[in-house]
Amino acid sequence: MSESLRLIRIIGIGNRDRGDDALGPLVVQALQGRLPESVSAVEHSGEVSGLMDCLEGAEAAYLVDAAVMGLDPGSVRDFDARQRPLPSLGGNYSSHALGLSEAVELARALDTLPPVCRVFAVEAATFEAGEGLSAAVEAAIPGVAQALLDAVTQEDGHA
Amino acid sequence: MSRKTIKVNYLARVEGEGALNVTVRDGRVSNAELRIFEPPRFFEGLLRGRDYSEAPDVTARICGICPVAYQMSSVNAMENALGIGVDGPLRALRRLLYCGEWIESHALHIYMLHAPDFLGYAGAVDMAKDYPDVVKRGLALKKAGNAIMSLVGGREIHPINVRVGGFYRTPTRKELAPLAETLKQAREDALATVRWTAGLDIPDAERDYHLVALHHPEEYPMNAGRIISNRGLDIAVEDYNQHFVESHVQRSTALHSHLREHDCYLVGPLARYSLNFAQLSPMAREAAKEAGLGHTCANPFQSIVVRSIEVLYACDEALRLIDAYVEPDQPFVSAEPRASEGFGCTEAPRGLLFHRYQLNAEGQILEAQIVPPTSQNQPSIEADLKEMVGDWLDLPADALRERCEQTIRNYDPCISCATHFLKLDVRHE
Repeated sequence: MSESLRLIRIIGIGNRDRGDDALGPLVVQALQGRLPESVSAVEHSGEVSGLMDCLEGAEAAYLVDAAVMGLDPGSVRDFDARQRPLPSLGGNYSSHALGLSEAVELARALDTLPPVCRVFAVEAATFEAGEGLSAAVEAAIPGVAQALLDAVTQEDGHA
Repeated sequence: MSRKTIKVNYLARVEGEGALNVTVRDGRVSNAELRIFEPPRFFEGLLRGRDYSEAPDVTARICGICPVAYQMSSVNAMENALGIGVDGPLRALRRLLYCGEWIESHALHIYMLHAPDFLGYAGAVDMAKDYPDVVKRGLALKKAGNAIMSLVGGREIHPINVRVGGFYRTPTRKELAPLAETLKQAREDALATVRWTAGLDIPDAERDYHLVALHHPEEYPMNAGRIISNRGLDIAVEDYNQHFVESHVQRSTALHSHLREHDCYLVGPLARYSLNFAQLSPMAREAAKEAGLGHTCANPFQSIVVRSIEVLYACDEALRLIDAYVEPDQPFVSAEPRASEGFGCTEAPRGLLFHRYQLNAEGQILEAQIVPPTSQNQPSIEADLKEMVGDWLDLPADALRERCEQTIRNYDPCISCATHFLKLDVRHE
């Protein structure tokens, strides 16, 4: 997968049919047509080996995902994964499907974590199958998309 | 009287949510109960009223790690109900897709979930720091399995290309060619995996299991065969309910399965291997011999080696299927709805997966029955613990808990399938 991706990558993680878990894919959708040439924006299920493929070979990776951090729904946290290990972002109810934190920490252990790796996590209210986004998370999408756009534009300027 | 209770209140590295309570009385294990408290998912109920053609896509959603198994058992059952058969290249493609699922599911369990137990790590991330090349090999293997799922199934998770009667679209030989190159490397990695797992420090713990698996005289079982056991059972899939019974126990939201006459039984890699050794490819048989395995295996801790053999077999078999593949004239066989009942049974990575459907004349599902492997293995997991924990009571509390967790992980339990999983609670009385 990494061969077809550009060096700066936005990865929207989630499932469009699981309530606020749709956040990652919807942020990617909101960014289509607005990104510099050097930036790829992709949706991803969060499956660990595929996600690690998305990270490998990138100069900069920006991941966005719905999370359970104990905050108010819609709250946004921006983690610099290069600086320190990610905290638990919750939502990993299946040990067969290792989560975002495990993929990032495995990439760190295997020395494939990109030089720039930031994670934008948005507190979710619901992961119900077949449900739409909660109002709080839907309201957070434009701000997260803009923050990602600012970050990749700045990174693109450095490249 | 001394009584001790070992509690594992949340079991990591198993699928779903569950817990284990072990009660020790006067130095002997008096009880071992697996408590499964994930909510039931009512898939059998929500299938009622749906069209027969929806079953493969609805049931694929039961599990993100073994969706192909659900698709295969459901299409087999529907085709049985509708009186059609799938053979030739379509049958071969289904087997190829199943190879992909075995490879990705087993590779995940071997490297990410089970190996850390044998090497004393809390999980795959810690293990990767000391064994980066080993973990990379595991990820590469999983990726090879995913590549089959993507190409034949349409995507890696919850494939969308399977339908009753065949596929929506079949691949060309040209499309399969690059997959063969990936699988040649995967086969090398799989052979290295067998050698590596055979060198792990594996506890010595033979059990007298009643082993149950599909058996087909000409192939290692995936999609077809009779249900047989090492104690003389030999039945057609249609007769499953005459010999097996499900019951509810208060501690679990997943039904328990028993043989009507023989109580608990074991499904999964150990059963498949022990009942079908002769059907493995020569390369897989040779690797098993080199790994020190006999023609049967009754040590649950060796399941990690047996899974490695099955990964090697699946890579080898996938290469054979790709080499022999002839593009079919039609991607599927048509079927007309009719009032009927159909049965399907296939070998999910974790073992036997039984489906039964009753249809009306319009092809609507009137009744659905799904018996996943972890439901069938629950009583066997409890029996393992009841029999084995007594030998480990001198271990420090943490080591004892870890050994109990490892014992449960021998089964690669999928509580998302069985409803779904796990906490350890050892109580000394």
